[in-house]
Amino acid sequence: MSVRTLLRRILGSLVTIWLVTTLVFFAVRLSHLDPLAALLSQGLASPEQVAEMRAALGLDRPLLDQYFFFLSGLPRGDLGRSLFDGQPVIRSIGESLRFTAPLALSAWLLAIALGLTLGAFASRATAWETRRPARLTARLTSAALVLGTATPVAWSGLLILWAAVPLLGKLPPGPAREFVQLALPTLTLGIASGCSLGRVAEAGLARARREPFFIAARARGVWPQWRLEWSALRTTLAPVISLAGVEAAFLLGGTMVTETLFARPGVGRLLVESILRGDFPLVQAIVALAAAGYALFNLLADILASYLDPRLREEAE
Amino acid sequence: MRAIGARLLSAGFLLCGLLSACAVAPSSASELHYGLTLVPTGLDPHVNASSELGIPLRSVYDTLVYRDMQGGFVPGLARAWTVSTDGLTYTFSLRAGVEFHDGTPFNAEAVRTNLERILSPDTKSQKARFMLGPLTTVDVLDALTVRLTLSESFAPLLDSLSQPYCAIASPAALAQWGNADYQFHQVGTGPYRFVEYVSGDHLTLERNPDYAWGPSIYRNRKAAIERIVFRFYADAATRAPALLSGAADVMGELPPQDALRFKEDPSFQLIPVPIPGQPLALYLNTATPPTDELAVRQALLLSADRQAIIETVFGGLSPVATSAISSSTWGFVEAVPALGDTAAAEALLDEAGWVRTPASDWRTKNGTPLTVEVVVPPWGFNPQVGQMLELQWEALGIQVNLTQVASFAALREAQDAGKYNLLSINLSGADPDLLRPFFVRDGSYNLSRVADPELDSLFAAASRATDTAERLHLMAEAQQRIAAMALVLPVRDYVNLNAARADVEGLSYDAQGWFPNLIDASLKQP
Amino acid sequence: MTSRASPPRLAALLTQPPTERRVPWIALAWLTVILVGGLVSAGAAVNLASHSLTPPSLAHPLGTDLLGRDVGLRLLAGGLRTLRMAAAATVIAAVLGSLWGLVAGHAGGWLEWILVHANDVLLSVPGLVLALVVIAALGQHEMTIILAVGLGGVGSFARLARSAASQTSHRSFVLAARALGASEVRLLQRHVFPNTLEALTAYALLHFGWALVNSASLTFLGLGGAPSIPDWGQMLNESRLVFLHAPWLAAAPGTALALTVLAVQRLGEWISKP
Repeated sequence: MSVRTLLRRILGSLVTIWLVTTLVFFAVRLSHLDPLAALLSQGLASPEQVAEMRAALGLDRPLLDQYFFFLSGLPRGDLGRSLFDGQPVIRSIGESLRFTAPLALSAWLLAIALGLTLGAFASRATAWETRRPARLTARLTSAALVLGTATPVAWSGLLILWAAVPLLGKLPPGPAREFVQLALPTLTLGIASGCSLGRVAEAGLARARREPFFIAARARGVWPQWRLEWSALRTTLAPVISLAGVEAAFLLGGTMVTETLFARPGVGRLLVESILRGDFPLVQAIVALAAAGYALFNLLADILASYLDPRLREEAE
Repeated sequence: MRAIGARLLSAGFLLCGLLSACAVAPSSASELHYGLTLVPTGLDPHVNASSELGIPLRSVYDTLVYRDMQGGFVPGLARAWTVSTDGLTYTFSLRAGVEFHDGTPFNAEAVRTNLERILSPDTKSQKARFMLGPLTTVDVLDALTVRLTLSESFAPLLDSLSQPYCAIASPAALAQWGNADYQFHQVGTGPYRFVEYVSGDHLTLERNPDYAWGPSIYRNRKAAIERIVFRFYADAATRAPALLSGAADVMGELPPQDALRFKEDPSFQLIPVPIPGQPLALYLNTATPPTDELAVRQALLLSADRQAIIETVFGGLSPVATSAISSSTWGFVEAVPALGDTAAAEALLDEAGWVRTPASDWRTKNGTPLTVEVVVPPWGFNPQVGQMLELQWEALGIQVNLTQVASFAALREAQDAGKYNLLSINLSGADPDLLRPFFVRDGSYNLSRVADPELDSLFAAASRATDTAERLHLMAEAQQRIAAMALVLPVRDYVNLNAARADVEGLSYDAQGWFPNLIDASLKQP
Repeated sequence: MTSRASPPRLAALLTQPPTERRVPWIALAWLTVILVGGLVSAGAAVNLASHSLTPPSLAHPLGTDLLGRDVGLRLLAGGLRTLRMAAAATVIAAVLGSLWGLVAGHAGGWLEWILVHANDVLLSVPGLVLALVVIAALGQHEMTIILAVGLGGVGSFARLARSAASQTSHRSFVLAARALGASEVRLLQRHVFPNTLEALTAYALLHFGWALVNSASLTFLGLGGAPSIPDWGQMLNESRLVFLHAPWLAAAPGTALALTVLAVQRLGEWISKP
């Protein structure tokens, strides 16, 4: 991918992110939710005191004024403060990213690894030279991949939690327990995403198997079979990697559900909670972050794909 | 081959070593693992509002006074105090020889710094400010005497000063860390020192060996357990497994079904603690039909089978609520009968003109069916309570539309919109004054939309009364009037279901119900 | 390939790739059960049985929940509500998205450029996050969930419709019709749209599965608003409170969701094969 294309992509992404943030800024302020409602939760703040706070936070100014005030903070890196606890938005997001980043990254890598392996195995089901028993297991793998894409993350997460409870019971608090607690949501998301990637890999590889080069190599006795599959996969890798970029969207959405399910204080759960509370600055910042992350994932995936598959490079020019 | 074998063996030993290093020993006599529930948005007692932060911080700080279990007040950091007859001036004589954890001395100047911090708008206090009410100035009379001046009489002031939200922190530490960072470096005078707080992960306390000025409500002079580590278990489903596995030694707010299991298990103990304040209750809107009719409100109350709800949803582990405040709150009187009377409810509805017709499932009057809108929040099994009430009322021919909102802010939005007939909200607190915003004309929580001069004057007088007997009398009258007007459907008194391992001894909770007196806890030696 | 005797039938069924022409009887049967069962049991779901949290038994094949209600009946009634929400959301996404994409693909020029880039903005936010923002703006109940999931899906429909429309628009019969004096609207209506219909319908079925999972996720997060009317995502959420004691409460809606998505996907594959 040429530098010029890359720069154009990055510029395009920045404009998109700015547009998204603006849209979200005005959209969430349509809501009737009062973010200062929590103050009244103790029943002791008088409406006058709440009005004071509202003015201090600039919430009663006209919408456009608030928007420009928000924009003016961006060059300084000031994304505003949470209306709920007064902490700078960047700090809250940074703290929760500590929990989400390892989860999202490991789930993505697991999904790619799982998808490629299972997809390759499942594609053997339609190969002319697979023996009957192997064919049966390959068909089952294929069916499992289909089932995996259909199962909602909430349900598979609950199943994994249920299976893990006895294990968690035997572990005292410490690094081992921390590892298992990180592994559970990673497994949930990685398996779910891996199944969709696996189906694409399976279809791609099943096609590749019918190619003359593959048949010829098998006939010549190229062994073991996975070596050949790997080289065949490289030709079909590009769509898989591109899909992996799109799967990032699924992962971002999936972290919301799994973090709520496994009670991990990450960005996904923070987004859900801020929306429920009407904490506009946090919602804006997190959605902007999601859009940026998604754009980044896709860019990386496209770069990787064009590197691996020269046929794509001409398209990019 | 041999080289490989040797390498494998040494790798094996390394692995064993690593694993044993990983395996942290379960609580020895010196360490307790306490399970908290919600991750608080902030841990600064003067700023933030959740009850979770009070659980560890009760033991990091001392307060001027402490509330005993009978509702009276005992000396804490204040040795003695006097209140002027008009209730506008409180003078506290402070205890000598008290030191903060950082070695700086405790004195009247420290009290002033703390109270002024709470009052200052820069602190953006979410709870403590409002607990201090009409407090205007704090004056230092001498090194150990401080005077508080109020703009009007405020009966709940001592109760506020007894809670961790109005605790006394080291002015040196407050100045050093500033408002944003102080929560991570807290310094008090209490039986435990604040060691560290990793947001969302854990909070550690260590015993203060120099503690020698505890109030009379503490049994021990010094803490017995050396370290206490708090971890967060926001998801109710993970609390019981954590306790069972030994990851936690004490756990709060267990779901009733899990709590029942711990009750029966001899290696655990169930410690149910009634929480003073409001019970789980629904407020009836007197401004929206059909609940604008007294007969309809009374019928709704009489036909609600609260005992069945408690048996089914709460495992029988709560008492039926019988007033606008719970039975463990100071000033409680029984005002709403515990048992319902469905026949009487039907009669009331018939008399009011809401009759059953063969044409419809629901009672009708002048062609309009009897429909009530119920709004519940998602926590505390409120949706399940709402669903059971729906079934009970539908048996009476009342159509129920049950709506669940997803957050406190959304509940507030529903309250402001006013389209509900019943709405569920509840606050906790040891002082019955917390009811005032619910029942006075301009109260911020006037969910019933009442404008009753008698209630207004009762609550106003009670808030100013300095005589305890007079206050009790006024609050009793207020509760009876609320019941007579059928403004509240109280369902169950909130009981915090704590469970602990059987070898945790002496764990008791203070008068607010939420906060444990950790100084008294100890671990039985095996 | 080999000279073995013909294999026994069951093994043959499992080892041969499925021919896409085979009617997906199982998928159709499952969907019928859900739909009909839902219609039939709508009222019965609220009947109160006496014992709460009983495991599956003869009287209650899927057990009872915390309030003693039969899980099977609630599952069927909930299925109808969940399917209804997903269907409505899909219709919204399909109609709005197709319109957007068809106009963009057919118009070309600066209009296409604007619409495509606006669509990219929409697509740059993951669907579930976009749905949450809509809910944040409009409130938390069933109608907004439908709207939110619908809007979240507009982007991908628009993209598909645009590429299908731009392919069709450049074909000779459209150029001829334009030369004969047909207005742009009529061209869209009479020529472009019918030719893209097949691709759009196939995608709509696929999208229905996505809408199903996402609306269930939103009700799972507690945004549905009506706790007494069952819904699969909501039932999944309620089951978490008593999960250790009663895992069957989660198994029923979770498995039903997975099977329904599977059935819809299978149906989509079958319909899309010419």
